[in-house]
Parts: sequence; structure tokens; C-alpha cells
Amino acid sequence: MSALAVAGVAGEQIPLDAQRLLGDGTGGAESLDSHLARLGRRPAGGPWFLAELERSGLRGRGGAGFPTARKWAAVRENSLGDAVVVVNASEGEPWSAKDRTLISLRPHLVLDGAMLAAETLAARDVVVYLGAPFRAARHALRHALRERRRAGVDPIRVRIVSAPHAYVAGEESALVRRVEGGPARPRAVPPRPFESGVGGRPTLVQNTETMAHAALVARFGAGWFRSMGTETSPGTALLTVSGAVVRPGVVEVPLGTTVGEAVSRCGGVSVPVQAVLLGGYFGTWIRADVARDLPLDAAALQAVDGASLGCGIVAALPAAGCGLVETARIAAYLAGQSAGQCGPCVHGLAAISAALWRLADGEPGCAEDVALLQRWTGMVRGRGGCRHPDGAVRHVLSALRCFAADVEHHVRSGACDGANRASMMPPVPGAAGRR
Amino acid sequence: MSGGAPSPLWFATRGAGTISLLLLTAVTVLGITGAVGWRTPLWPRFVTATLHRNLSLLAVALLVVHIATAVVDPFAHLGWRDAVVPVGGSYRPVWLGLGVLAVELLLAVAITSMLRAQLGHRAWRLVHWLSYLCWPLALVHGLGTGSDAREPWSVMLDAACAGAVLCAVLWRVAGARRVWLPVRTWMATSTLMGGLVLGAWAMNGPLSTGWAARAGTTLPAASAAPTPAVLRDTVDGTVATRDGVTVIALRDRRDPSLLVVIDSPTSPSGAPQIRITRGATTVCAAAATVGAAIDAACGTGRVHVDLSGGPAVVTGDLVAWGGAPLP
Amino acid sequence: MSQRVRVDIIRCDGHGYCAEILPERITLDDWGYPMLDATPLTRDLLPLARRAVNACPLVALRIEPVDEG
Repeated sequence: MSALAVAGVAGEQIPLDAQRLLGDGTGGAESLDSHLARLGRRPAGGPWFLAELERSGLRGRGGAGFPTARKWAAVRENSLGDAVVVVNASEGEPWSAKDRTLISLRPHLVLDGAMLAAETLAARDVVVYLGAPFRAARHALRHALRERRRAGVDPIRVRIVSAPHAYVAGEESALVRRVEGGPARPRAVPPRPFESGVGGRPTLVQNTETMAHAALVARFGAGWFRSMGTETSPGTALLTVSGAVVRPGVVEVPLGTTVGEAVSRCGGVSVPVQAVLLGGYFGTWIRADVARDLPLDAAALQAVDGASLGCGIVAALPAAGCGLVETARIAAYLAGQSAGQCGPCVHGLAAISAALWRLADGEPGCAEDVALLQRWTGMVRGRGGCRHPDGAVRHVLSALRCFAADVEHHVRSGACDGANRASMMPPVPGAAGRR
Repeated sequence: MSGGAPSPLWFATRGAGTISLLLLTAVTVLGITGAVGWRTPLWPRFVTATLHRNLSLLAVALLVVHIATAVVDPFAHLGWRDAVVPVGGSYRPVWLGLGVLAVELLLAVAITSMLRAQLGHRAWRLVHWLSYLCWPLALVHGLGTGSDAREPWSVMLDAACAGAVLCAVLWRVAGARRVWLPVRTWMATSTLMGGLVLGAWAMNGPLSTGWAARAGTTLPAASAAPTPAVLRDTVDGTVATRDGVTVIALRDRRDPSLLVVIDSPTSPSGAPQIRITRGATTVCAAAATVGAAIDAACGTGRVHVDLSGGPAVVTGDLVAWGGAPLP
Repeated sequence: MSQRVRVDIIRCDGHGYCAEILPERITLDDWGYPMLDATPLTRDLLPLARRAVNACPLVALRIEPVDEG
């Protein structure tokens, strides 16, 4: 298999092994001819496909991990031939690059999945909700759409809607609002998009990668899909590996692969590593010794502090760094990314962020901040208009557990050395001014 | 002869207006109290908020009465246009216009408050800040247009209302600890200055004589009955006491042939008399009541004389209405 | 059919009148926003709950039936 070059998270070219989604051979966006030559024409969607998806056990790759077949069935049930299919390529998670990478390399696979969804759910509109800054992906997508129009392969015309590069822009009710022409801010739910979404019509909001997997399941079947991965987590997944690794970037691994193996695919660690952030900014910090042999399988992850794959982010924190500082940066970012609609989220996350910084800086009296963090995380959880504060709280609490030793050190003797070193982690947007 | 004394509508207008002012004062003070967040166990914040809301609605209702009676009342010579357009009115246009502005602001506040959830916080907040203007506009309107303005009860009421709002504003400014001190000091000072300016204006304007004319009280055009004739003129004259009788002799500035003489015996057994002459003709000769002002009934009409100055030289307003002889 | 109070947290501005009127079901967090107890309203609490709903200047509070089962 030839090496593919793809822009990594840090903007460098890195080699990448070819796999199911990412295919083989060509660098750059795959043409329609090459796509068809490699994979053949896709079958037409329909009710049969719901059963196939169900058997495949495919789960969403956007972060929630919801069973895909169940989501499609819910939309189909509500559809009167007017459903809307939205491919969520907003990728608002700063440390994730997999969705735009997939679109840049394999736009036709993603679009096949969208068309299958449209046919299966009796939809008459298809939208790709693409993050505004992703020019390469947009270029590849536009080119692919032109090819498909000329070849006449799609029954429905695809519309591209630009997603603001904000964290909540990918939340499903915010997405619906933006596609309708409004601001990308969450709405008070219910009703959920599968009942009433864009223009009041049943709407499927599906992650880019999930659509691509669906397109392959349609061609090769559930059995083929399940031939890789584990019982509870079948198939492969895209990971964005970053931090203290030799070749940060997007890799595709069969689920069940350990975190350690995934990191070796990226050249292994560049310096000794103390912990890994798994899943994304709403994810979980896991100590390196646990993470090394931890299989990326839903059941196994759940057992470790309730972790999950999330959107496939694996970020390695060097031993010489400070987990509390990294968490404080992320918490400050998440507080700033609040849609600003709900008091508990706006005020609570700001208060949590401030307390976390005082702890990260090891300021005198920060023992009180530890107590405040426990109090405020409990106060904020579940009280926002969307799940944004819940995700932030989950991250902060997992950090306090994972870096418990650091917490004690900071409380007793002030900030550790790691706090003052330049970070090896990818930048957190907006953190440049702070530290 | 047509017309007569001011109708019940005129009293309703003035009464409703006065009560509206009281209510608006209460609403303003309650609004400030709510913003400060003041509370006691027996008076939680929702009481302040609900009272503020309910009293403002009551004020709007009373203002409807105030405006409707003023427009409908033939005595006041106001049309619906004067109630809606703040400029160019026929009766004391500037001061009436301020009242029109105040009502329109109040309506804007009420409507945006009812649609607050739909409009969004910023729009509502902006309009509600403008509501601070309602109260001073109403107060100045009352002083400028009110014919009772110089009555002691009216002056005390206005002073009390002004005092209450002034204190509330200063309390709020003092308590706003998060605002930079120089800004707060400036706010407090300008509030006090505002109060002083208001007081000075009141003293030299509505509360002094000749205001009616200066405020632009226009004489109604002569028209066919039933409009009653109204006279409002400035008069100047002298006061002298001779042989136990105080004689006030006044000449009308506009029509120097019109003379008003009031004989007021100093002993309580004597009754004061008023005699109004135009040239050689006696227009009115009747008993008068002498108090803060001088009132008399002349035939079917009424005469009211308001004086200030003294002890020897006085000036004031002569108001006459209802009767045939005067204009 | 039992009922409980619910708040539209996006509409809510943290005035806190609801917590003053119905402390049996509503307390305020450290920033003045309501934390609601989902326990169904008893008969004697219903009038207070309705007053709390009316007192909210933003119409953010409502009474809704509890899904049983």
C-alpha cells in the first residue's frame, strides 16, 4: 500500500496508511472514475438498507456514538417524503481533523452515503454542513459535486451550507437553525431534529465519517463491516492523533486497537507521555499506563472513568507538561464557546474556568478552588439548554481525577514545573493571549 | 349664553393627571428598588416587581382617562391631534408636548415589556432605560400645563414626588459599587444638579406669575356658541390700605381699558368686593373670596385673579370664563 | 394527573422571583438561576406555582404534566 500524504493537525504533510475509508493509491481528492473503478456503483437505498445497517452495528462517529440504524429509522418513520439529510462536516472540535480530511480525500464516499440516506429515508433535500475555514475540503467537495452532476449519478441536488467555526455549531439543533438560515446556536429541545428539524421536516443529522461507513456497508454488507473491530464496536474508525507523537495526523484503525497501537501508527511517542485525552474537549483524560493497553472499544472504554471514543481525538500529554494547565486552557475555551443563551452555562463555566486557572497556577488558597470546582460542576451539569456545559464538566472532572497527584502538589506547593514549559499539545483557540 | 363653569371633565383631567403622576413616581421608585435588588423577609423582590408592573398598567389606564377627558372637554380646546403629536398644540404647546412624549414613551415601555420574551433582552433594555425619562417629562408637563400648579397642595405633591425619585436615584448610584467611583460621583452630582435646575425652573416659571401667558395659553378664536369665552391676561397694579380697607387696583396689560379693583376690608365682618370696568362700563361687580387667589362669580361667569409680588406693587394673572360680559 | 414546574433556561434571565414564591420546588444557584425540583406539585402548592409562573417577567417558567412511566 502506497503512502498517502495528508495535511496533519499541525499543518504538516504526514504519511498515512491506506484503509477502508481512506482507500489506497491517489493523493488528493479521489475522482469519480477512480472511486467507481475501485468500489463499483453503489446500490440504491431503501428499507432493505435499514436492516443491513442494523445488522452492521454501525454507530455514529460524531461523538455521541448513537446506533446509526436506529437514528435513520426514526427519521424514516416521521418522513412523508420530505425528510432532510444533513452531512455534519462542521468539525468544530479544534483538535479533530478527520472529517475534513475524509472529504478532501474521499468526497464521493461521503456523498454516496448521503444519497443512500436520502433514498432510504424518502428525503428530498441533501445538505453538507461544512466548516467555514476548510477550503481544501470545500474545493474537493465542489469538484466532486460537479463530476457527479455531469455523470448524473445523484437523484437529488446537494447544497453546501457553511458552518461557523465554533464549538456549538455542530450541535444538532444549532445545525438545524443554521441550515434554516438562522444563527448556529442551540434551540430549546424538544422537538428533536428527527421529528422536526429543518423547516419543521424530519431531519437526519449524521457525521461525515458515519456516512462514509454506511456507503461501504451498502456495497459490501454488514458481515464485511463486522469483519474488523470488536463485537460491541464493529468496523474501523478515524482517529486524529496529536500531542507528543512523532507524526501527528489522521489514521484509520480497526476498533479494538489499543491507544498505544494507534499512537505507534503515528510513529510512537516523541517524549515520555503521562496521559492521553481521549474523545475530544468533552472527553476523558486517561493515564498513559492505562491508555497504552486500552482497547478502543465502547465497553472497554466505558469501564475506564466512563470514557468513550467521542470524535476520535487521541492527544498525548508529555510527562514534562502539566495536565491542569492544558485543562484550564480547554475549560477557558469551552466557557468562551458557550452560545451565551443560558445563565448556568455562561456563569458556571466562566467560574469553573477561573477556579481551574487559579489551581493550575498554584495560587495560594487554591484548595478552596478545588472545593468550588466540585460544587460548581455539580451545579452546572444538566442545567444548560444543550449538552455543552455537561461535556465541559465531564472533561474537568476527569482531569481532576486523572491529575489528582498534580492537584495535591499545586495546592500544597504551588504550580509544578510543567506549568511553565511551552506546551507540546496542539494550540487551543484563543489561549494565545493567556499562556 | 353658552358654556358655563369648567365641566366635570376638566376636573377629571386634572385629577387623573395628578394621580398618574403619583403612580408614575411610585413606579419609578419601585423600578429603582427592583434594580437595586432590595428585599426584606416580609417584602421579597417579586413584590416590588409585581407592584411595579401593576401600578404602571394602572397609570396607563388613568392616563387614558386623563387624555380622553382633556380632548373631549370643550373647555380645554384640545383635539385628538394634540394628544398624539408633541408639537404645535394650541394650548401651552411646549409643556403639553412633553406630556404627549411621556405617554408615548410609557406606551413603548409597556408594549416592549409585554413582548419581552420575543424581542430579546437588548431591545427591551434600551427602551426601558428611556423610561427613566417618563417621570421627569410628566412632572414638568404637570407643572407647565397644570392650572393648579401654584396651589399649595400641588406644590407639596410635586416636591414630594421629586424628592422621592431623587432619593431613589441617589440610593441606586450610591449602591452601584461595581461602577467606577468618579463615574458614580458624576452621576450623583448631575442628579442633584438636575433636581436644582428643576426646582429653579419651577420657581421662576410655573410657580411665578404670568406663567399662563408665557406658556402660550392662546386665546380661543371667536367662534359661534357654544364655546364659552375665556380670558387669560396678565395684570399689574398696586396694593394700598386706607381707612381699614385694602384696595388692590389692577390694569390689564393687553387691554389697558380693563380695570379690576378689589376692596377688601381688614375687619372680618366686611366682605371683599370686586369691580371690573372697561372704560366707562362696569363689566362686573360682585362679592369675592380672597385667599391665596381672588375668586368671584360674575353673572354666569367666573373670575379668578392670581397675584404675586408686593407689598405695594403686584402683578399676576386674570382668568375669566363662562360669562358673556367679559371678552 | 400530577404536574411539575419546568423552566425554559434559554428564556430565563435569573430574576429569581420564582424561587421567592415557590421555595418548596425552586432554589437559586450561585449565579441566581433556578434549580428545579422535579417532584410533582402537591395540591396546596399549585396556586403558588401558578403565581410563580405569572410573576416571571420573561414567561420562562411553566407547569407541565409529569409523564408517568
